[in-house]
Amino acid sequence: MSERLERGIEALRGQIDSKVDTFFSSCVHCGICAESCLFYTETEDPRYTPIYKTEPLRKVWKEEHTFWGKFSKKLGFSKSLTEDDLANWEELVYDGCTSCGRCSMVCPVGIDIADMIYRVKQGLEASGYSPQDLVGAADRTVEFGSPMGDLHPALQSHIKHIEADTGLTVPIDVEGADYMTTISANEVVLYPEYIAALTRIFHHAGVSWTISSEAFEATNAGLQLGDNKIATELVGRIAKAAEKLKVKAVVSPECGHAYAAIRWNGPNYLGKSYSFKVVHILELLDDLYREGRIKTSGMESAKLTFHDPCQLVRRGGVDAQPRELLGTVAENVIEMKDHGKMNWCCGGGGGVSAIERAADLRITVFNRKKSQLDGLDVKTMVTACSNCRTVLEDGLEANDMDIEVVGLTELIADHLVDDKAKPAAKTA
Amino acid sequence: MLEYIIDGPLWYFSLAVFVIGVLWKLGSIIFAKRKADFSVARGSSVPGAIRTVLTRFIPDKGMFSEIKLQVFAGYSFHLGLFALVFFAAPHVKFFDEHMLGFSWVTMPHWAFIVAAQFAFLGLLLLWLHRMINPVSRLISTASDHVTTILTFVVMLTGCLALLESFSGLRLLHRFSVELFLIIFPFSSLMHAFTFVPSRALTGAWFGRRGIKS
Amino acid sequence: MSKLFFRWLFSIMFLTLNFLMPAFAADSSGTDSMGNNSASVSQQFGVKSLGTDLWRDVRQRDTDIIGISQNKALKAGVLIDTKGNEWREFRQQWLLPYGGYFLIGALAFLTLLFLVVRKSRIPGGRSGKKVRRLTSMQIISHWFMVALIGFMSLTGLLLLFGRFVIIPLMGADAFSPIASASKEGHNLMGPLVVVSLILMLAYYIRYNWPAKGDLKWLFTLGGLLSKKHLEVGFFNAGEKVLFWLTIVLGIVISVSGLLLLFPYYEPTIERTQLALLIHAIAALILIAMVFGHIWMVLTVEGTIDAMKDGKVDENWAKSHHSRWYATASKSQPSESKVAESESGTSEPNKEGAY
Repeated sequence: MSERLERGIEALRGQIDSKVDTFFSSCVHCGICAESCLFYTETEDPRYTPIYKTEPLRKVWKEEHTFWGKFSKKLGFSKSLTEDDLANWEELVYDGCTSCGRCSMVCPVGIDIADMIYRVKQGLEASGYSPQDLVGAADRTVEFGSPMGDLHPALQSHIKHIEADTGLTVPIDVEGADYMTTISANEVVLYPEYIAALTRIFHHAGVSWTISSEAFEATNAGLQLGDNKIATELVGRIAKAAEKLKVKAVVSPECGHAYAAIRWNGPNYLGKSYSFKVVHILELLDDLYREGRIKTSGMESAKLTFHDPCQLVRRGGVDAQPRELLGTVAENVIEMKDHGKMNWCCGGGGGVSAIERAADLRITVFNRKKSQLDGLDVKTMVTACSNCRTVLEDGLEANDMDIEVVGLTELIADHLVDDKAKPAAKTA
Repeated sequence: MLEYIIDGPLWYFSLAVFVIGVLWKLGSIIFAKRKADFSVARGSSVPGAIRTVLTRFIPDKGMFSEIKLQVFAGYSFHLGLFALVFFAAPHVKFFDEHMLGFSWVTMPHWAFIVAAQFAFLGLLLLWLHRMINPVSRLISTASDHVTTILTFVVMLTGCLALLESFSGLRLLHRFSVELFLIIFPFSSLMHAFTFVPSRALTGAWFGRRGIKS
Repeated sequence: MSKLFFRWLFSIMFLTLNFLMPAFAADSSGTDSMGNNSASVSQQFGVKSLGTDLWRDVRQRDTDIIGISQNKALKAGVLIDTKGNEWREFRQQWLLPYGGYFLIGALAFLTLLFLVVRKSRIPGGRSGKKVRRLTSMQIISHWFMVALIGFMSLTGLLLLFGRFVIIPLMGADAFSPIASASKEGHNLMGPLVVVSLILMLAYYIRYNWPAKGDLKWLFTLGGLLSKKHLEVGFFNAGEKVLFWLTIVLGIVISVSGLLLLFPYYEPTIERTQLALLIHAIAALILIAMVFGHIWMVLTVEGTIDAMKDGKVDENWAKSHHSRWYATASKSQPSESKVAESESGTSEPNKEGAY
């Protein structure tokens, strides 16, 4: 057995607990999960069937935890996991799965397939069968702070512009602030308007906030790669910074996986509860709205729709706030046929958008979002995840669709009342 | 000789394997040590678990048109089989005389036949689907096919012995049932019991996050 | 040992068995060792029994006489019903032998065709490119019907002819449970045939309406005689004939079968016997047709592909169903057998991971 295979099996073995055992014991291979996965429905390639993606884990489970598996292994006719299996599953698990979790919602025997696929990533990563793009991103994050390298200069430049445009200050490293906000690399590089929007809203609502210069990166490349050690390290940085600045809460930006990493996985990576709360920016905005601290005026009258980021809504639980908030600034919201917790994935989450070789696949599976939009007759799609935004924009462009993608936080900011800090000439 | 074995030792053996196997598996699931979740819950897990155990019986509205065969054939088979195993007069008589010592209300004969027809219809369609649909063909294991065939044989031998007049046919049915009971704990047939904790675990996970699944 | 050798060997074994069958038929027309039956004995000796007229009426030899009775049951006015015996005689003298000869003849004829007619190869050979012809549900419906008709044919034939085969081979003690099992199985699965007919109608009817070229196809026996290429749509006329005959015979069999299962509608013995007769005749014709269908599918290369994974070779489609292929190939990208995976990476074990 090669060393890589050994490492892979060891990692997979470590992932098998009673939950995995219960799930694999219950699967009757009905194939319903395939119909819920856009990677299958848009390619009709049965290898993208969600439960099929868990094959490497199942093989180890079968050989070590079932009677027939142990029996056939002893007698020498067991179909053990091979290194070829690991190599072949890399594309299925990394390119062909965003952990969107639709499969987990429809399985008749209630298997959390998305969670199982995440466990498979641990094995693939340990054996070295993970995409170079993600490995690089993880390494860069560990060394420089962000998947795209050291984003301090870019961030500082954006902050300077924001402060110049708005006349407001972006508080850095303020000890004792209520909220420490993190930002995803995508927002820093592609959507710095998000940071501007945050600044304006927090000023308007009188929120005491700050950004930590030591740990502003929200994107958890370890989660995307499937390396729990790196994921732990990255979450640890944010936790340490939050404790150092003695903030009450950490605010997660518009990024689904970043929210999942810090809100739900983080304490378990670290093995203890946080001394601070974690909220998604939309949860915070919704709270501020209810407290009357955010006042908006005017409504978007054009028809628009909302794309639900999977890790935020379905897997994150923030399902009410997006529509509550949208409803305060838009009066003509048309829902896609499958919306809310059963909306379809953009196709690029969980690191898929970072994998260059998966570009064609992403465009193909975008056909699902396209068919959701066909017939809706909207010119604007609002969402709350910067990665979804990029992926959706790519898909819309590839299909020559004239639809603008807008971030929800920015939309709220555009409607703030008495917002002297609003930069001129911003079209709503 | 054969009659003695099938009605005697083999029956007790198969029953023991089945009962011990099921209890062992369920026990290992229920008494497993669970890792603590240090994240702050938004909703509660127990209501979520119960909710999911019940609601997964209902297919998702948006997906329904794509999975019509699995839903209809699945329910036809399971409900038909459940009805005929537990409410067909010859079976209730068997439970009364050989196992429990009490009986309960049984279906009229025609209902027994109708239930059996639904069960056969569902099983045949599902098995054909398993072999023809590219997804199920790829993911199905040898165990799936063996258990499907075995279930079919149990049902068929039962049907063939309906007149209850030939010991050979009755023994064939009983023998296939014993094989079924022996294979049960070592195959995906266990889903009949493990689907409850499986749904509950996922329901708890979603419930904790405040999502109704 | 080549495939051809086995083909001949099994065909000859099968034919031999066919022709030996009648020898197993028990002769049961009620004759004694001298070749006389009981009625002719009394006639030979000319003894006039005193109650012959009375008993002739009671025995219902000349006409049907129904008396009056206080008992209000259906056949209370009939003292001795001869219809059961009449049916038994009819069954043994006509239905079984002629039905049997028909079936064996059909099988023998098809075996002959199978040996003599050369397999029709795909013109130009397999192209390697496939086009989708049938959906999953169409394939499932077909094989569901196959399973059911197969089971019903087996049990039905056992009920009709079983004793002549099983008793000589395995003895009467073995035959009783087999016959009982066949009856119970045949009766229970019967209603499912109705379901399979509904499924076949639902998924195939739209391809079976008469269309241009059907008559031409029939008159030239599908181009067998003229060797000219015929423009054919989704199904050719022969397939349509098979479809409609199956549906019609299936309906006849189902209705007669349901009447036999649930004789609540006019439950007279005449109705039952008629239903049984129609049921048996229609079933025998259907079975013979199925033999023919199987022979046809095995003789034309590439035909069975459609029922395996729903896809057929393009050259097969171009040759046999050109009109359908013209529209189908436009709406589907043609799939190359070699490069079936989307990604450029090596594929996982295509047979499944098990």
